[in-house]
Amino acid sequence: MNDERRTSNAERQASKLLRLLLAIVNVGSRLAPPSRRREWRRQWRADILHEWQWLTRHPRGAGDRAGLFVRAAGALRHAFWLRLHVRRLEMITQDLRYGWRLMVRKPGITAIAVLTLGLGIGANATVYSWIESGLRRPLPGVVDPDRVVVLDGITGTRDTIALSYPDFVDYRAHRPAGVDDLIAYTIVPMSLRIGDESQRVWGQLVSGNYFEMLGVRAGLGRTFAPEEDRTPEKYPVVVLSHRFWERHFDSDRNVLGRVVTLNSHAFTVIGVADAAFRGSEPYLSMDLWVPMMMQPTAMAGDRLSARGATFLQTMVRLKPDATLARVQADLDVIGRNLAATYAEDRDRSVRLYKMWQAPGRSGAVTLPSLTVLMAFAAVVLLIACANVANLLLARAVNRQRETGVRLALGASRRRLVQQLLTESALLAAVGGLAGVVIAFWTTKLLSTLVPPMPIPIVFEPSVTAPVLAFTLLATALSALAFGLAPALQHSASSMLSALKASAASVTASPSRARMRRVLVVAQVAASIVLLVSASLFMRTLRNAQTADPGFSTRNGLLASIDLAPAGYDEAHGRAFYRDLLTRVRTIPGVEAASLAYRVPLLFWTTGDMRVQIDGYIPAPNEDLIVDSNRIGSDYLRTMGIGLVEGREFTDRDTAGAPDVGIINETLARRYFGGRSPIGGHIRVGTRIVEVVGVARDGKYTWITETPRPFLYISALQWFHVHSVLHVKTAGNPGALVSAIQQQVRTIDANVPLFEIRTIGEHLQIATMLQAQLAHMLGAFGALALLLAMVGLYGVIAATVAQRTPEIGMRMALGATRLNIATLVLKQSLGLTLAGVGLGLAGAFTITRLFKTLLLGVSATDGVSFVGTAALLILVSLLATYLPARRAAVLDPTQALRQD
Amino acid sequence: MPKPAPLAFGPVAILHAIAGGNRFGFDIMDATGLTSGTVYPALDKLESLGYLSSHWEDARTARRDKRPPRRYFDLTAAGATALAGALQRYKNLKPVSLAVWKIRPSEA
Repeated sequence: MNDERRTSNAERQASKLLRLLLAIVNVGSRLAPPSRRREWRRQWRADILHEWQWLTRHPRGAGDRAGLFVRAAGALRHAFWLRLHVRRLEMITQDLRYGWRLMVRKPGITAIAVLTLGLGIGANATVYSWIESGLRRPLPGVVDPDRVVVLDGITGTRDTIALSYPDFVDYRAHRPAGVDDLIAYTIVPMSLRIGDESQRVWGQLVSGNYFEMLGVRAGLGRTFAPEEDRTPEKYPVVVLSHRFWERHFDSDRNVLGRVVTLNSHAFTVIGVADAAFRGSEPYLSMDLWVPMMMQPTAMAGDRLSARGATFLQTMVRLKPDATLARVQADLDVIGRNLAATYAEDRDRSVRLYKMWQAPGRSGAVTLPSLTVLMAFAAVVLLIACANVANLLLARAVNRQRETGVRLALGASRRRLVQQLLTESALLAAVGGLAGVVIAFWTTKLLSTLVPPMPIPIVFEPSVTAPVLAFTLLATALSALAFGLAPALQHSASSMLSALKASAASVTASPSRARMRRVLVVAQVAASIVLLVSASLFMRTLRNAQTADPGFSTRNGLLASIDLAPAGYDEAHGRAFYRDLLTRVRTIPGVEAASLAYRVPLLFWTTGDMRVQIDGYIPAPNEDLIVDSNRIGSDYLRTMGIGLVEGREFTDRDTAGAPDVGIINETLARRYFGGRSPIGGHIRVGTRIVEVVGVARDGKYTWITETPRPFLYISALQWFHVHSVLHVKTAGNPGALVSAIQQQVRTIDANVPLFEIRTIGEHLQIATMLQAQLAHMLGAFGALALLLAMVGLYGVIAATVAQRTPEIGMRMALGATRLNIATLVLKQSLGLTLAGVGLGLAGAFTITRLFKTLLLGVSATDGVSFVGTAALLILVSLLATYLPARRAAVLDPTQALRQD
Repeated sequence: MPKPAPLAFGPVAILHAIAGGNRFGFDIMDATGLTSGTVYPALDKLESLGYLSSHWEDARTARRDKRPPRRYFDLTAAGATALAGALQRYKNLKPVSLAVWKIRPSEA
């Protein structure tokens, strides 16, 4: 009985304690943030009740209940912690939701802002995608591309030159400790026959370690085995590119072991390279790879053993800890040893370059243009940001009361800034998304702008992960750029004035109006800089397109011929060429016809020859290297190249007759001094060429090159299975294509005629880079102009709205409509002129930076400067027209009544 | 996503306790010796990091015991990885002799 009472007493006490514990939880739940309150309470109630029951059933000692009490007190700390941490997260969601509602409520303004940002960000993403594909990752599929560098031969006069195979072997055998491996390769056009069909393919002749060094695996089959690169012409094997395999073998897995005919020799397909790999030349996509030992078959003429036969590009893979400078020093030692040992290597050495720095290669060639593009894309984005900032400032007017209320309710300035920045970030995010969509589209467009070419160019910038990362960065930066100033300015307004404010008085807030004007002036100035630059590049493009390449660009037709598939030997080939020219010349409408091994202005030099000129004594470390081409009879007349002296080649300048050459004016001037070069002798290897004519200088590789020595030799004396038929026609050259094809078929139906194009089309290739640059900058300039004008329009329209009562008053006091329109116009013109002045000064400073990229136009070209200024002022008048008109037609009684 | 900073000892001990089968707040406190004011916030934090997932206890079990269902925690795959990483870090602390530090002259 007593016991019972004691128990129930204890129970009562216990249940009192339990109630207290649960009360703590109830009170504590007030501390927890509302969104988590229920869950928090549920968790703590359940845990405490469970523990209570546990302790009741398994008592541990006297301290049990007290311990539970201490633990329950921790609930308060938990609730408080949640309040601090969850609140922060919730605030952001709240701001985002609010920002979203604002954006949706004003779809017009939002659309303009998003589109503006999208264009700005899209422009940057597009340029960056080009940088990414052309400079940062120019060789897809290569493992650790950062460690792969270019090794160029250099001569005593510091010109870059290819390496010979024996030199490559020596450099590889004695490679310094910092070098993992060395590869050599060269690009060779070959003819491939599958079944009955033959076609021109672009292959690379590569050293046996090529794939291994680049880290490229075979997607199917295997790559080259070591023994396939030891004995000349022993293993005719070929590895196909994935793309080529897909297109020409329908991805047939049974292609392994198949025999294909390359340059009329049977080759066995041993593998297909990894899908990502395109070859070791940026911007080019190779069709297949053949081991170096097959060089004589692939190129005609054995060059493997001659140390003077420089035809190889080389690349080095550095060890992870190697530095360029250290390896260079070691290579210099090897170079000196080789120079001391071999006469051919006298005054030769090698130089290492990072992929994008190697002179004459695509990286170094495109880098200046890409720098200009990237800088201007950034300017476009800045202009876009200024526009959005302007929009936000205009909107801030309407939100002034809201700010006042928030401040009155106790919001901190930090909180206000945070909210406004969240809204900016949201806007930027949507803009960034639009930018990505635009970039997807523009990168596609860019790759379609490449004219069709006789070389397998791949220009496929695309929106990859790094491009997206870059876009994200650009988006974040622009959110700050256009959001920070309005946010700070906005939150700085005092609560009282904000609450009292009417729309008009707020707009008049001097600092805000000043900021908007400054933004517009900056926009106009920046677009002037862009437009002037765009205009300079447009003129450069025009000049490049109309530049005198030294040959006639009208009514010319080119068509490539390949005699290899039909199995011609040299004697029969010569007969074919002679027969072909005779027949083509008889086609009505053909004025002249000839052959050449090479077409001018195709970006790379394949005709470099080391020569000795009788009567000219080279300086101690001068290496006489001249560019050359093999041409047929009547070539100069066909191409419209002037003959200064002597004669052209004729059909009699063939094998057996003395070797003849035609030199250009620069060669004549530089190496023959005052003497007449006619009858002079030039030694090419073991052959002696007699100069029979002097031709006018022309452009041979690049449209922008400076005059250089050039030697023409006779195609009939230096036979090659590949050549290009050149035809000059009286009228439209396109009309003669089928007649020419007919003649070729008559002689031999097995000889393919391909890559038929007019010289005009061909020249588009030569000016491609200038065209890309000019077109993109033109687009940027137009975009900048449009954005600046939208900005100007916005500011003027806002001023007119704000000054409506004042205008009404003026009209009431007798101002005419013209007076009012002039008033508005003056203000607009003031802003524009300030911007134009600043912009011209800026352009004057900036355009000198890319002087070297211009052709035939000065960096301070008056026409571009004045024209741009005039254009901008004109367009600014258009942008002012609407607001000025609105002001002029105001009804004074209405205007005065407003506000 | 940036790699989260390495976990402090408290959260590691909590993950460790959960991995060892202690899946309720109070069990974890018992297993780790940490206070409730540390354990509960840490559980929420670890859940938001994706190292833990939480569920409510089966209602029938709770009803049988005449109490509401409790919230219990499970280790996620990311949590397991993080725990393994942390344990490895502790393992890398090689044993050192502390004897010298315990009898400093000033304290002796």
